[in-house]
Amino acid sequence: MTLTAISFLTFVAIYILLSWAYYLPYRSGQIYVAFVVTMLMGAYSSAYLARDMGWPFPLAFLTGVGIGALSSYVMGLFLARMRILQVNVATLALIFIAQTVVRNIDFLGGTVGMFHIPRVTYLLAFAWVVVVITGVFIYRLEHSRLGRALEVINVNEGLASSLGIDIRKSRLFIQTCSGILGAIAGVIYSFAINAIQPTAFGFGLLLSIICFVFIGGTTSLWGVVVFVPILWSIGIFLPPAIAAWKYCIYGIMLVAILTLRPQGAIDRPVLRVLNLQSRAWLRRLGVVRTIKEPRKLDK
Amino acid sequence: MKKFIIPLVTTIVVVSIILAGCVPEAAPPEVPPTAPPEAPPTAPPEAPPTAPPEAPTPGEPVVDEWVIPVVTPLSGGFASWGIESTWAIEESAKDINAAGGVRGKPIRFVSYDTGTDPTKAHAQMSMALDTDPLLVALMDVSAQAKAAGELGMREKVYMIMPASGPDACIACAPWNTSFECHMEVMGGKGLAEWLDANPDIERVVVLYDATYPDYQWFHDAFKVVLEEEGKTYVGAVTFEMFTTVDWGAPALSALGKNPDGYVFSCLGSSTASMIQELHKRGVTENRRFFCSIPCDYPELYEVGAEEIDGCYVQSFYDINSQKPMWVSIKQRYEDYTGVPMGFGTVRGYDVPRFIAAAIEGTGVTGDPTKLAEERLMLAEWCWNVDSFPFLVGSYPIIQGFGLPVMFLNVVENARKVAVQECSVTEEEYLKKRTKLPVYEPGYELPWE
Repeated sequence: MTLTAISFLTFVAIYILLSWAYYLPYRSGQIYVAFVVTMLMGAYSSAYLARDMGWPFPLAFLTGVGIGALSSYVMGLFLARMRILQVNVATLALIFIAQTVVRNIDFLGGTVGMFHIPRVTYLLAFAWVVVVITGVFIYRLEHSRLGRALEVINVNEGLASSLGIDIRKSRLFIQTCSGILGAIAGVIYSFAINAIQPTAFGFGLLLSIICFVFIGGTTSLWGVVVFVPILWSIGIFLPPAIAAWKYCIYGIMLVAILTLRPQGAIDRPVLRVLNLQSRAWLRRLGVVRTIKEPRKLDK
Repeated sequence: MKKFIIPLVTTIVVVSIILAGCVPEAAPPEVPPTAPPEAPPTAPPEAPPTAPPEAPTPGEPVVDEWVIPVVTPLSGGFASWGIESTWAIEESAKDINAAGGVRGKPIRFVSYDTGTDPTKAHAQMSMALDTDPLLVALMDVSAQAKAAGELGMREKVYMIMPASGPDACIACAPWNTSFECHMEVMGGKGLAEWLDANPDIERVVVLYDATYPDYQWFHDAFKVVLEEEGKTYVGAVTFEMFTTVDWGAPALSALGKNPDGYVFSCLGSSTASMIQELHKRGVTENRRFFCSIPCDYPELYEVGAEEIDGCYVQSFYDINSQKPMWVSIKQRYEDYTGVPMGFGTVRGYDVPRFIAAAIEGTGVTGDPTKLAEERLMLAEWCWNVDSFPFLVGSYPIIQGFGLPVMFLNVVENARKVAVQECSVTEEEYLKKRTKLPVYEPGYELPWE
């Protein structure tokens, strides 16, 4: 496989994970961006353990994710009770704080960052296995009781409370999940790029993720799966004269989507139609049997 | 309420994206007719082959043209550097081809835009390496250069990184050559000369962008030099040059430290804006402003104009040099943009010349079956060079770092005029460099 394909597919996997990290809290009505902080924590901790302590990648990965999970849980204890704008502002501020802290820690490289992070030959396969497992998890979560509770919280918090849903606990859970996804993406990112700096975990990344989620769709996990490769490849494979306008293209697409289809390109009705059509095609191909009329019982 | 908040937040996000992203790539410039340029130095022409014309003689180039990828920021925060240096690379390639090419074959440079983004830099470097080049010109800085450089190192492809900053060059050692040396050595020298020229300056404040490693290293070097010169370092004012919109704030912070000298280490437009803000607050003696190497971009003179007359600027070149090649490229750049050229042009113009000399000096053929071997030959040539005739003057490359010629300039009529040379000697460099590549014990250079 060419280096270009490996690089493209690895970063698509990372961006899908980050987009899901933004998508999950959004489904419960929160604009939560602290996954960038846990991404930074996961990236730096795993890189330090692997490069300087000589830990093997699996152990460094688990530790990095564990640190991210713990951090997001602790942050969530305070953030879960806040309202939408408060969470948004607080988590944006956390990004500034995290960057500044890391920039002033010498053993993490300070402003220079960390480089010569060890290479992992099976990283691409590993990243996509993680994406599949995460996708299954999110799918099961959305179709679970907790998933339905989160949707109710998004629609009406008062109604959710009256139905006996513990809003704070639900949000704490989902923010922790988001933080874990951010940490996973951060670990994979640091071993993919092999050189990290605090500036990489900032607003440029966040703006791209927001575009991916809103353009792809905010009501289904499939939106980012389809649109992350498309949008990411704009800046990579299109001619430089067009690629240089990447953020303008993102902005125009975002405005168009929010105006014409605020729920995003891929939403549940679209999925329902695709599901029905795919079943129809599978029936024609004989893969799926037509359901027969139930046999009438003799009296 | 939620229906109002979410569209409001997303509208803010959209506007920020559009404002942040609208940096179009400049169209390739039309080069006006000029006097024929001075031909770059090349090896004497090869003797004609004696083998039948269908079969290439061993040692002769097997390629129809030398294609070298250039990984550079053509969009994003460092686009001005990338566009300027890419233009200079293309001009230099035209001059080389007009003089007969490299080993009789034309040379061509293909640009890959990093977008000043490490992730995109990694992707673009992957695309460049997939073309199996002999070597790569990596023109980006800092995080982007390191991300791309890690790939180059892994694939054992030598990189010419003329001005990527010492942090990136140290990270990518020994697989790269820089045309500059460590910031703590270069920057300190210019500061010392400025202080000698203005002996009444006692209290100095340093204004710099703390998010970029090379500017941080400049600041650290300035502190040491101020102590050595017996001056008082009153403190630093830090900011983020790409996100700051009100330059009055850092100017006020600097004034609050009661200095009588100001040292800037950031891009040219930021420096000019801060000087203008200091003028508004009564600091009008421009000799008290020292603009270190990173400030020497064309925007310093575009934004500052006559308001920066009298400021001191450290640069890698004497803008008024009368060398024919220098005069030619300087005129071509000014005809293209209308402003004096910056060191993007200076570095960019030397990249093809250096690569051409490496190809001529090693006699590589471009044979794909010998790619690994020829890459090592080029790496060994580029690692140590006794003396190379760069555009600004001849100087050596020592263990992948150049000891550039440098000048202290004073700005007159929005143009800098060199007042004295402040170059670094080999002895000073070897004694004063503090940051070195980290090699494992027993490390051997790949080409040894």
